Amino acid sequence: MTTTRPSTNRQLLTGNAAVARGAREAGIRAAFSYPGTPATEILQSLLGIDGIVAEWSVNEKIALECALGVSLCGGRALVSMKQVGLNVAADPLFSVAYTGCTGGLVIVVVDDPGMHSSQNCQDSRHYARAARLPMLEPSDSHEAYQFVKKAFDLSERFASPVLVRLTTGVSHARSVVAPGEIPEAAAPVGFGRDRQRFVLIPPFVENRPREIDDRLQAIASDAEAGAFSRMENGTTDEGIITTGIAYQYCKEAAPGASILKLGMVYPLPQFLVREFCSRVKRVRVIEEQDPFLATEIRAMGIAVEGGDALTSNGELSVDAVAAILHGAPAPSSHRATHSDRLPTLCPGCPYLGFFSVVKRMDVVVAGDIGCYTLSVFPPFEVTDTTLCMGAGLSMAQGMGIADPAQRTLAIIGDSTFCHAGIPTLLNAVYNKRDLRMVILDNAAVAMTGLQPSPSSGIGADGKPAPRLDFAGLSRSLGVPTSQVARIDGRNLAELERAISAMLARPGVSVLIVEQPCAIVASRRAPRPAQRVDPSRCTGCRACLALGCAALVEREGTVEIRAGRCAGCGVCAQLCPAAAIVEGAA
Amino acid sequence: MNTILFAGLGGQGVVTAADITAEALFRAGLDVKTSAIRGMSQRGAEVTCLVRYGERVFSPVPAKGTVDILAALDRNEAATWTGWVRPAGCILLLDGARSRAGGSQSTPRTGDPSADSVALHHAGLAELDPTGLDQGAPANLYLVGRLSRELSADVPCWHAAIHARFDGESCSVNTRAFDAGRA
Repeated sequence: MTTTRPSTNRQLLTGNAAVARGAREAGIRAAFSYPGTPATEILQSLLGIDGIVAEWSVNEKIALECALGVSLCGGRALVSMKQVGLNVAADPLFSVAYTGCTGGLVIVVVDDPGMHSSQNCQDSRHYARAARLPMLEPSDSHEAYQFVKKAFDLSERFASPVLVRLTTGVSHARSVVAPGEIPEAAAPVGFGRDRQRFVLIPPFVENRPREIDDRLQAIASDAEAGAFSRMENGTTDEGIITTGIAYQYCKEAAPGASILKLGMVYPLPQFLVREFCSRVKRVRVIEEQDPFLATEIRAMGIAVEGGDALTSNGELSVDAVAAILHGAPAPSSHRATHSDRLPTLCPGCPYLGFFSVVKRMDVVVAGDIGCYTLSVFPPFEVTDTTLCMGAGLSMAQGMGIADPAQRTLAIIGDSTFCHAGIPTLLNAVYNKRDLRMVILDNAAVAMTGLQPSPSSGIGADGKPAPRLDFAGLSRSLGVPTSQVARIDGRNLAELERAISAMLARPGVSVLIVEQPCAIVASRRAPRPAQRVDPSRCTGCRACLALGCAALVEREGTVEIRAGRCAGCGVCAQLCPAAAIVEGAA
Repeated sequence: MNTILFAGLGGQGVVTAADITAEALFRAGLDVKTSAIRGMSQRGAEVTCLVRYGERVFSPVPAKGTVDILAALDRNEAATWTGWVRPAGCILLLDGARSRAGGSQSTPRTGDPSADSVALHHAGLAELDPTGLDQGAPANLYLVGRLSRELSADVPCWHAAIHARFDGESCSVNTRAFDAGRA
């Protein structure tokens, strides 16, 4: 084996990168997304490409609506998001089924069975059925590439937006893709006025549900749509109907079985399902997450097994599929359990000082989604609630109604505030609630890999963009000027004073805690590591309250790991003996 | 179909090691799939990466107990994943290499946090000596070099994979570390 170049232009791509490749070959005009694991890299793979507008939208609802605008002018558009993002986009989702589309409109959603990086493991296939939209599900990177490319054709043929569902096992796995050519960009034809279709008011939508039913029926019996699925002949004793990554597990766990691999999971290619089920004696459905296919097939009047032996967290594996096929209980998870390290905030993270201050206070913390959620873990154990994007601010308002005496602090990150917090702050002002809220402004969407947001001062294209002024925004929404403050997140004494003052005030107060993400800061201007002067350290451990991973207890004193220290100097403020100093010994 | 499991901590270059291995095997003409890290590993949880290769690969994640080679950059993580290695498989461990500045490391939630106390029980354990590494040399590529001795891809495939990943001085540094590990 001495070949140093692949024989063709084949590449090893993640499922996410393959989605982007398929969209490029489909000639998209624009792509929209909001960062969210495990979907972030789809849009990231489309940044900086001539002829494609790639946008980090402020939230997923906006992303889908922008994409529909592109489509109605004849351009092709891609929208991508994680599964909970589709909830945010659900309002337009149900309506784009009614408007239909002009240019191909493909909505990629990545589910996270096993909840590796999400607050729930919802199965987005239910959205396809609920919104009456076709949905494709690939089982590896090459299919992700192919399906997305073909989804645009399907979308235009039927004037219907098309959903493509991935799961983490496909989106974050890499496999071989054999890409094709990237076409010349076609200019959008412009908006084709059709008020009866695009203005969704009762007199215009009366017949739409039946039209959508007809459209779905046409897709279900369409040969090209049927080509997304295939039968693989094996033993006639054992038949498996499966889709997505579960197909790969079945191929290893049951190599001899006949398989119907469904590439379109809604609407089902009913003719294929009936033909397959007539060929084999026993049919079992193997699918990740909910019994969606099993339910659909049973609704066709076909008796199939399956859909009731899933793992507790919805994620399958080769072992789990083998267990299900052999009638044994499925293993609950394939994760290792021996060490199982907890995620932590980075050394030098500007949130460390803030949480070390809040930990000393007797407050209920209504938290939100971002790096700061990690304050739920030791040594802080500060965050009391995390629900969904922006919910901390609203829940704090509800807590204030139920128990006005409770001291509640609502904490939200800069990007999450932009995504879902602005109307919530307005709600508090308008309804005269008590809301003490902190915007932790690190000027990036750090948790998902430092994507820019309206607070970053740069756009998705890396060029300067208007930077949101949180203080000005808060004042314009009606928060009194005296109750809006900005503060340097590294100054612990000031933080304590400002938070205490805010907690003592009625009404709405906004405290903006500013300091860039430590990773951004260290790339921009690295600072020398701090060190502990052993002659001064008394071993009091006060500095360890900061929870910084650079601080390590050793033989009665504390040591600062030079390789980890970001040089922020916040720990020095906690040392009563002034033992933490700059520079080498 | 064969499987290599890479394990370590955030900042040690576990994903890079797996990417280069996958690319080298791919360039050697094999079907390859990798399963990248999932979830919040960037924030200090353990990092694992699977590379599967052969004539045709289906699942990117193997059945438990079927991994051929575990390549680990941390003793504790090696111990965590030993149960995934088949009895006749092997474990290549390069422990004690420092994590890159800026990465985060957390303490194991369970088990003994002191890495030195973890006992590894596997007949195929091969410990690499970190003192053989030059100051500042990338440990992950040194480990990949050692790993490459167990795999059929030829040196030009490996060098091409490293060249595809790194530019300039970084490419030279990583190639040297690979060569030292392979020697």
